[in-house]
Amino acid sequence: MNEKLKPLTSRCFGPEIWLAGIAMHLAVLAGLIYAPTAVDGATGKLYHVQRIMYFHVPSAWISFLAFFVTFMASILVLAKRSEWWDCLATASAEIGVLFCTLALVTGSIWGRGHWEVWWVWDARLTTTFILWLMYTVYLVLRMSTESSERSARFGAVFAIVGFAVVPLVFASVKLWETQHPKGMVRGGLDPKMLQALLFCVGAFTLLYFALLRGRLRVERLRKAIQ
Amino acid sequence: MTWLAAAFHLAVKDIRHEIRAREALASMVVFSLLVIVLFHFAFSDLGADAVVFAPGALWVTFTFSAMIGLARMFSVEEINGCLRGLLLCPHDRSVIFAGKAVGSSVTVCTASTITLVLFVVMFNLPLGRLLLLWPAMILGIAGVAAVGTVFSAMSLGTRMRQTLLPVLVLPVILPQVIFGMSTTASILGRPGGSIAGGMLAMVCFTAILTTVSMLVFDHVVVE
Repeated sequence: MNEKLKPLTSRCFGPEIWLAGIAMHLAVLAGLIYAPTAVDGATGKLYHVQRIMYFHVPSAWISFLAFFVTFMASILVLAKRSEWWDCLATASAEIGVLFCTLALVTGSIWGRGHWEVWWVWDARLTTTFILWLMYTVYLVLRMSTESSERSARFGAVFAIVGFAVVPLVFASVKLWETQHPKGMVRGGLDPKMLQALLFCVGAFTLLYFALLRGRLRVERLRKAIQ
Repeated sequence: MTWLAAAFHLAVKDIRHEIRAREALASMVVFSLLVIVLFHFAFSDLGADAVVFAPGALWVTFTFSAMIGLARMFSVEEINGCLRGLLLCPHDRSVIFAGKAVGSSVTVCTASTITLVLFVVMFNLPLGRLLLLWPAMILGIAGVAAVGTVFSAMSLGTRMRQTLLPVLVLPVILPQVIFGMSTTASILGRPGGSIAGGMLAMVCFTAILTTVSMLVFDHVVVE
């Protein structure tokens, strides 16, 4: 192997990935065992499908965090013309799309249990889907631009314009009636449920940073090969 | 020459070009009419009232026909290196953005106005509603044109060129199209919505996206 690449490949999986792995295992235990089963207020039956909240909410949180990182990094790409910020923006967008997909899929499964349909054209679901579409298009744009300098510029412009739509996405939730469960965390959520949820959010955040760091290393490796 | 005068001249140049060539306008109007015919066969035979499908049909038609106009916006400047000439203009690049956005807005609005009038007549909608439908259409298209100007220039620099334009523009303008449809539905008498609220949402979208697009346009047309 090329001597220049050795230090890069040997550090592709740093300690943070192991830490994130342990945290994710604990998050599964917290969501499935530690947190009590919710009870349906109307029927008094146990509401097991609600446990998907411990993976749905953190996935949605990570997708928004990742898209915000892409937005900030994109501003810095245009301001400083730095390759590193461009790598960060792309890596974060890729992870954001992954977690947004997870949020949509887990939300759909939760919706099946809650509303008895796989998909509802609810304002929040629809706007999250629009966000997912936007950042998927961002990745398509990056792939279809040949020059890396131009790809960085175009990607940054698209990410900034796309993120500017986010306030309108959230405004639409207030403008239209929504069937989405509102204020679950602020409302009558059991303290143990809240603890499990916050732990899961922390574990997912750790996983996000571990994946981001790994993806940045892969990008550095790719550039070193080129 | 002031910034405003330069942008105005650029917009007038584009409008004059369109009046003489009549390429985009003719294509947009014919395309819109074809889409309307398709919507008639898709919904009327199912017994759907025109008022029910009009908001969706109109905004889908406006959006898709706008893509034709937006795709041509910068491709015409590629001939004989006109784009390089524009970039040499001793003004800020935002002048090109403003001129192009206004020029394309006028073209798209002209085509959409013809479509709107024909749609109202052909589907026997109340003619008086045109007084409200028209400003709503103008507001909606202004936002679409602002975003479209940036992405039209950007799509020329990609491998897929204008094929990529609808893919880039549609996800970003989706909220505007939804606001447009809900406003149109309210104008046509569907209960539960607010005309003023819909209009305000479209104004906000147009203001935010025009500002952001103007700020980033400089980074799209570098070379």
